[in-house]
Amino acid sequence: MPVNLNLLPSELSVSKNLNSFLKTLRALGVIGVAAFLVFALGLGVFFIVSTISLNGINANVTKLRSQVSALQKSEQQIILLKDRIAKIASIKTMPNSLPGLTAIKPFLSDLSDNSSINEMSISPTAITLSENIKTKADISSFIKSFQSSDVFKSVSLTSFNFNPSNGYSVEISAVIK
Amino acid sequence: MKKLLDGLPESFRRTISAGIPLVVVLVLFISVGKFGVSKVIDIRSQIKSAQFTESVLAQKLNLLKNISSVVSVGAVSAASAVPDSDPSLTVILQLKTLAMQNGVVVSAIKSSSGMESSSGLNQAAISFTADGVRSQLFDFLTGIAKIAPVTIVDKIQMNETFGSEEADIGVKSYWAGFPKTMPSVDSPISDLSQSEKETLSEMSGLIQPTFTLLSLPKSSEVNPNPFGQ
Repeated sequence: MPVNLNLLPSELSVSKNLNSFLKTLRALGVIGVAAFLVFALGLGVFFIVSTISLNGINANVTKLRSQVSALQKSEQQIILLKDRIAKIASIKTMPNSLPGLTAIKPFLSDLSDNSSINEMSISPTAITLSENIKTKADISSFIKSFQSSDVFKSVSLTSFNFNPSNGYSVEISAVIK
Repeated sequence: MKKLLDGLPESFRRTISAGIPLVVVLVLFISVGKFGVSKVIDIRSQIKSAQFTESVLAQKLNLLKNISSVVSVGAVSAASAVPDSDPSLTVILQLKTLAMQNGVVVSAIKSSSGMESSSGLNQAAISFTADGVRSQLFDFLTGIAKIAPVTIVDKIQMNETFGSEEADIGVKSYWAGFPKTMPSVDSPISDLSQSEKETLSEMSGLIQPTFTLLSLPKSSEVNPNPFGQ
C-alpha cells in the first residue's frame, strides 16, 4: 500500500487550507494572465481595424470634399436662391393695396356708364370710395352688391346725398379682410 | 529583498509569490484598460464623426448634382426679383413699359430710398401719377404685381373726370445685399421646400426688364475735330 511521505522540513510546510488557497491563487494568476493576453490582443486588433476603417472613411471624405468644392458655383447659387426666396417671403408680408383693388374691382365694373367715381382711395387696410350714381336702379344694385358680398370685413355708408340734377352721391368706407 | 523575504514566515512568503502574478495582471488590466479603452473610444468617436461628415457630403453632392440646372435658372430670376442695389431706375423703366402696354400715361415720377428694415431689406419708394381709362388703369395696377424687381402697390388715390381716371400711386420695391459668406464645405444643405419651389416658380414668371446696350464708338471712329472748326 503506497504511503504519502512529506520529506519537506517541518518549518517549510504549510497548512492544508493555505495550500489549497495558494493553488487557487496560482490558478487565478494563470487565468488572469491568459485573460489579459486575450484582452490586450483583442483591444489591439480592434484598434487596428478601427484605424484602418477611419483612414478609409477619411479618404472618402477628402474625395467627397473635393467633389463638393468642384460644385461650389451651384452651392453659391442655391444659397443665393434661398436667401432671395426668404427675402421675397418677407416682402409678401408687407402691406399691399392690390388685394383692395382686386376686391373693389367687381363692384365698379357692374356700374352703368351714367355713374362716375369722384374719388377712390385704396390703402392696404381700407378703401374709401365716393361715387355719383344717376339712377335709382343703379344705386339700388350697387348697395345690394355690397350687402350680398363677403369680401370686406366691414362696409360703412358714410355719406348719402341726393340732388335732382346730379342724382345720388354716395361715400363708402370698407375695411379689407 | 531576498534576505527580507527569508526572514518572513514560509506561509507568508508562499502567499506573496503566488499572489504577485495576479496583482501584476490586475495592475496591467487597469493600466492597459484605462489607456487602451480610452484610445478605442476616441477612435470610435472619430469614426462616428467622419461617417456623419461622409453622409452629409454624399447627400450634399447628390443634391448639388441634381439641382444645379434648376438653381442656375432660378438664381438669375431671384437676383432680378430682389436685386442687390437700388432698383428705382429698373422699376421706373418697368412701370413705363407696363403703362405703355396698357395705354396709360405715367408722369410726375418721384423716387426715394428708405432705411434698411430688420429683415435686411432696403426699400425704394416711387410715386407717380397715372392717367387713363378706368379699365386700363386697373389692368396697369394689377400688372405691377407681375414685374421684376418685386414691387408692391402701397397706396392708390383716384379721381375721375370726364370718363378718364387720374391716379396718384405709390409703390415700393426692395433690394438687399447678396450673401457674403459661404458655409463650410462640411455643413449640410437642404433641398428647396415645396413653398420655396412655388415662390421660385412665381419669380420665374415675373416680367424681366429689357435693357438696350448702347454701342460705344470705336477709338478709330473718334471725331478728330468735334467742334467743326
